[in-house]
Amino acid sequence: MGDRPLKRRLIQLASALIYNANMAGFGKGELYRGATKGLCVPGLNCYSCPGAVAACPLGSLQNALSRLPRKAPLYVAGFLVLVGLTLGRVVCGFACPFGLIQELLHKIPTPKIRKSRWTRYLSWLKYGILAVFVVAIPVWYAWTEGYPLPAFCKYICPAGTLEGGWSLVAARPEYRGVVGGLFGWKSAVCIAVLVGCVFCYRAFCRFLCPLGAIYSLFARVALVAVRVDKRLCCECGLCVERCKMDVRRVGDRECIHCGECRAVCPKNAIYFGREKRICQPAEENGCSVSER
Amino acid sequence: MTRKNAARLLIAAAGVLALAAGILQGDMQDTMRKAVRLCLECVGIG
Amino acid sequence: MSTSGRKRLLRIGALILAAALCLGLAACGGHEDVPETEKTPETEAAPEAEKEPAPEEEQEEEPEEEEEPEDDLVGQRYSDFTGQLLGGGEFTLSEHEGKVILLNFWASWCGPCVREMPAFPRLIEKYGDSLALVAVDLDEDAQTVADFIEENGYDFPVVLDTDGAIGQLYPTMAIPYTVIIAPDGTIAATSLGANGADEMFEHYSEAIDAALGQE
Repeated sequence: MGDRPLKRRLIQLASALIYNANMAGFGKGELYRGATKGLCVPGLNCYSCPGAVAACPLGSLQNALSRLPRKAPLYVAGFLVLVGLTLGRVVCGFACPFGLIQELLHKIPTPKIRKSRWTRYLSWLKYGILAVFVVAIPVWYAWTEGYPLPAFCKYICPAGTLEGGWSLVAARPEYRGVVGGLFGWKSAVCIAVLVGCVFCYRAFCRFLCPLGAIYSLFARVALVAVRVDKRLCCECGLCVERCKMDVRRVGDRECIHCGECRAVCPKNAIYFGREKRICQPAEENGCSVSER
Repeated sequence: MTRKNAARLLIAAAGVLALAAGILQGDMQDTMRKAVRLCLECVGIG
Repeated sequence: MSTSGRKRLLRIGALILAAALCLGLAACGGHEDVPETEKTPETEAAPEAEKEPAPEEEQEEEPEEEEEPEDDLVGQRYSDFTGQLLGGGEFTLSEHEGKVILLNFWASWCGPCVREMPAFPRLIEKYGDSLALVAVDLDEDAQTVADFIEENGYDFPVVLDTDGAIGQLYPTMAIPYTVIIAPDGTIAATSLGANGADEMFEHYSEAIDAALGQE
């Protein structure tokens, strides 16, 4: 029973290491230039991070959108659709380095801000950020001003500040002259997010992350997920109570599929993976899906 | 086939088509070019 | 699932970590930890997925970023190159020695690069024949650059550095990056980043004036 959290933690760690395999880049403040940088990783990992060996899907999306109307963002959109369809927010729970960082920060012993209906309301904010900073602003600027403006990367993304901004400015003295108000703003945002996550579990994921917002759209169709077997479920609600995310049901759009709810289910009704099918000969259709 | 599976198939097809079309129009190169250089303002430095 | 299951899990975890570390080590290759010369770390970084061509070997001894905050290039001689001009023909930097040269590195996907460009025609108009201005586009293909230049109606010289070879000669990891070269061939000033055409027009004018005054 205690092995599952360990397994997830190891996968998170492995993802973080693989996305940032260019360890040498950190010390020198030098970006990796290999061809793998044309590939996107599923989680949030700034491609201006010296360690990054691939591209951030959000950054790539904003830039691809900037090429409208000449080019549609097909590659990045296709990538996000396929990842969303296969894994959905399993990415959040298993393959996002920034998610890992937030979880580790939350382990620092302080009083914690529990979830409530207010945090559930606040969870809608990330869709607004997606619509405005990831989509609307880049498209609008490209169309009207003729230059790309990746607004989420530029003004908000704390992963970019942490992995790219701070590490580059630290490694390269010549960038310090360029640093100004924007860097100050982003650093403040990053610090606020990191501190916030100490008190509020995965605050960035729940309230701000546009990538999580995108993947959450696939919650109903994702192939791999944490699910409840409705034949076994007694509707006690312990799973939702135990969950630190703002879920209404296990596996909904706020679920990051960490599986911690499995430990408290008295009926062992929660499972991880593909849908189970139940086949009742009496039924007309034969088989149906056993899922809440 | 359930409605859900039909939807999944459709989404998968759309995703694969978009991905392929994107690669054919050179999107991977675009992504790479953007990822190997640093536009300082784009990442919030300067 | 007790001790044997746990052992197996830990073994799997260790394998994953080992694989990731191997990837990481492969990525950094076997280079020395000497901070002065950051030359060609890319070649070691990705032996299979190599994008950088041979021109790195021809690269002059140009110590790029060192520990001091001042840009090393100032006071150094510039690195000459010959490149393909957008629209045909060749551009050789040394042919313009004797004038103040404004050498700009940019790309069409880089917002600040694009935003400062309206300053270039203004600078050309202001300084006329005493200024040679060239904008080297990094990594992009001719069509992309041509579309951009046409849309914006610029007519200053644009060099296509599709394989990044010219970019290797200068510290162009971060753009926009501009070098002001004095008439005697020494680098008078460098500029990293850009704050819009108006501000950059003033900024470059100052640098060009200073370089002209050096005669």
